[in-house]
Amino acid sequence: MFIETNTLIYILITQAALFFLLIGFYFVYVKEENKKKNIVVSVEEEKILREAHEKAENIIEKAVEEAQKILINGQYLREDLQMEISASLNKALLKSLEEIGKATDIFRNDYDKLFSSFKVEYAAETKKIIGQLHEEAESEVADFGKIIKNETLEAQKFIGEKINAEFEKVRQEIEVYRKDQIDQVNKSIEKLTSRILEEVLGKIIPASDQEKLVVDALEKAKREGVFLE
Amino acid sequence: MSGFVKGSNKILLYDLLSRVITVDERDDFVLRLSDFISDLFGRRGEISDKIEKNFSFAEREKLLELIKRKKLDLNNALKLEKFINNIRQEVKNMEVLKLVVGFEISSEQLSKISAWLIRNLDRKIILDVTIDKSIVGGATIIFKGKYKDYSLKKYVEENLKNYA
Repeated sequence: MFIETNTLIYILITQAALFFLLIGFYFVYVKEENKKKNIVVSVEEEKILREAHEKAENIIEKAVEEAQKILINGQYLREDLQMEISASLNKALLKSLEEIGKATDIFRNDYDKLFSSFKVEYAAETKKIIGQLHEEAESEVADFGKIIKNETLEAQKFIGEKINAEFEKVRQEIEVYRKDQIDQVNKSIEKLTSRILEEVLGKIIPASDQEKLVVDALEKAKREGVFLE
Repeated sequence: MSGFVKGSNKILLYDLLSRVITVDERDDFVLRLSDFISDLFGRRGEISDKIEKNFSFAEREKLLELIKRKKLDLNNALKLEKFINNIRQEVKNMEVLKLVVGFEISSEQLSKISAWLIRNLDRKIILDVTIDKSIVGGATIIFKGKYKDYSLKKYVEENLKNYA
């Protein structure tokens, strides 16, 4: 209604303006026409026009006053309406909240009932499923245990064979290394012994013993048939 | 040993050659025998003088003894020459024993070894001695293509191997 009042005012003002504009145009037209016809506008006609103009101005002024009154009334109306609407809204809101509360209680009760029945059903079902799972798990654990045992035995056997093979390999390598080291040590000992023999023993054996050693060598050669003809 | 000297004559010959032990001494003796033969027909003088010139006192005695045992006429140059040639040949053909020892062996020790050879092998064997101190002791023997190592070095090495 507020919006309609505004529209009415605008229409009134626009109409007044148009009317005034038309009056103006008419006045100009007439003047022009009179100019063309070289007709002098009578005083009466001018008076009429002036009166019309004054009336139009009055109408417009009244229209504007009315519009202002309407606007002021409209503002009061708007404030009243707002208060009324707020009151209504509050009332409606309170009622809605009350309704929602009631609905919530109903819903909660229904939910509790439903939940209780679900709880019982769920517990029973869960118990059943747990029982089944337990049985299945026991069975699987037992099977798994058997598999693990077999696999472990196989693995033990495999690892044992592997270890034995590796041990044998290492033992052989150690043996080869040992023999090689012993050979090297023996060679070193032989070299050292030769040196000791030559550098020490050769100097300390007396000539008489040397002669005896030569004769021993000749006797040995004779026994072995070196001197046979 | 050829049949040229036998029995007691062989002993007498070995006596003559008692100072002929090594190959060098053998070669020297053979040369002196050759010189004596040359002197027999070449130079004027008594044969006894020629013997004296080419041989030592001990050799002279033994050579004259041999000639006497052979009942040769000292003035018969031809027969004497033949006799000396036989001796020379005998000496040249004597077996040689190569001996490697590890010490500076003396003449006396060489004589003992030579005597051992005569005593044990019943024949005179000429010695070709080399000194190699690396063998330390004992000897390496090479005789008529046979090689034997009886050195102390080898003995020790073999025993070390047994203990290794």
